[in-house]
Amino acid sequence: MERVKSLRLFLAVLFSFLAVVGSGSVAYGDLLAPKRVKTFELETGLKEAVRLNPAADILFTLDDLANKDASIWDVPTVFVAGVPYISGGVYKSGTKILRTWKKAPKAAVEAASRARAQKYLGRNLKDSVDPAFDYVDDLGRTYDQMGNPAMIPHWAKQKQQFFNQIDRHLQKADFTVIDLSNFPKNIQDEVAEYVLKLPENLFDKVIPIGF
Amino acid sequence: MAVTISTSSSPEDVWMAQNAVFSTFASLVTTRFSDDEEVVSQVELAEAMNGVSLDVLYEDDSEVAIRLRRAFQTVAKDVEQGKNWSSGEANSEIQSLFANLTKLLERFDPEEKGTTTTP
Repeated sequence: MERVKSLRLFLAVLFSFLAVVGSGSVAYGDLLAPKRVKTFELETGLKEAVRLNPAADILFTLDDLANKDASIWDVPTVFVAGVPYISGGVYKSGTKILRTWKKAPKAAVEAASRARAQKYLGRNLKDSVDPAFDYVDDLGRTYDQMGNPAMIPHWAKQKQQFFNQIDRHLQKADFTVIDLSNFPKNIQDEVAEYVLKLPENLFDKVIPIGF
Repeated sequence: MAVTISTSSSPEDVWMAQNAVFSTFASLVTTRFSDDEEVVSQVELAEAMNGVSLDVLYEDDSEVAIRLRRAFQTVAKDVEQGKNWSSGEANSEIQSLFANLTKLLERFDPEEKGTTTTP
């Protein structure tokens, strides 16, 4: 039994090594790992994968990943020109094995953000019955969520609009989750600077994640 | 990922909806007003930036702000009356939410009243 386990482990390591070498980029080695990696490496990896096989199909769906105990929380998000991608699994092409990605569904981005908010708060957040709010906690307090990755390409020209929206969101729900996980650092820093200058009563309503 | 439509910083003048609700609404607006590129662009931008402040937009481009307000108002009235909601008949919570938006947009008439705040 132990020998079988050892052989399976050896083959798994060998398979992973060949996948990395076969893909032609060491960046692929990190893509399915449940940890954050540098955005530029991921972008390079995605562009390279698309260049190598522009017609790549997705082998694993998000449901498949969930069945393999890899929750959305664990799946790294990639941004290319502001568009979020979630790593989708392994694509076989001849003898080469490429990892590839699928465009992240909005619902998946929101689910990942909610998971981060729950972890941050240590509370379970349920869907709000009131369509005006995103979540409700076990004390009946309302939450809304900000930080749509689609804003990244608009940031330079529209940052004031986002700051204005922070002010207005804070007028509605009991708490506003601003999740900028995986956003470019300049955006995280500028939003942090803005939030830190908010009046205390509004500042206390912000749940900052990722910055 | 909630999205707001607002006409001032007063809580009564800020309308907010879950992203899924706003997305459906945005789709109805952009389909119906597809010939108005600036309105379509502003709706898409609102979704990306988590909201649009009509009073702020009015200061920057009053024409577009007024057209956007009319587009929102037209579609919001339909939803309020239970029409055109893509996921079937709008439920009472959705209709009530859009009734609030209609009222908020009716109050915002800077061309006539010269004000954007609640009475």
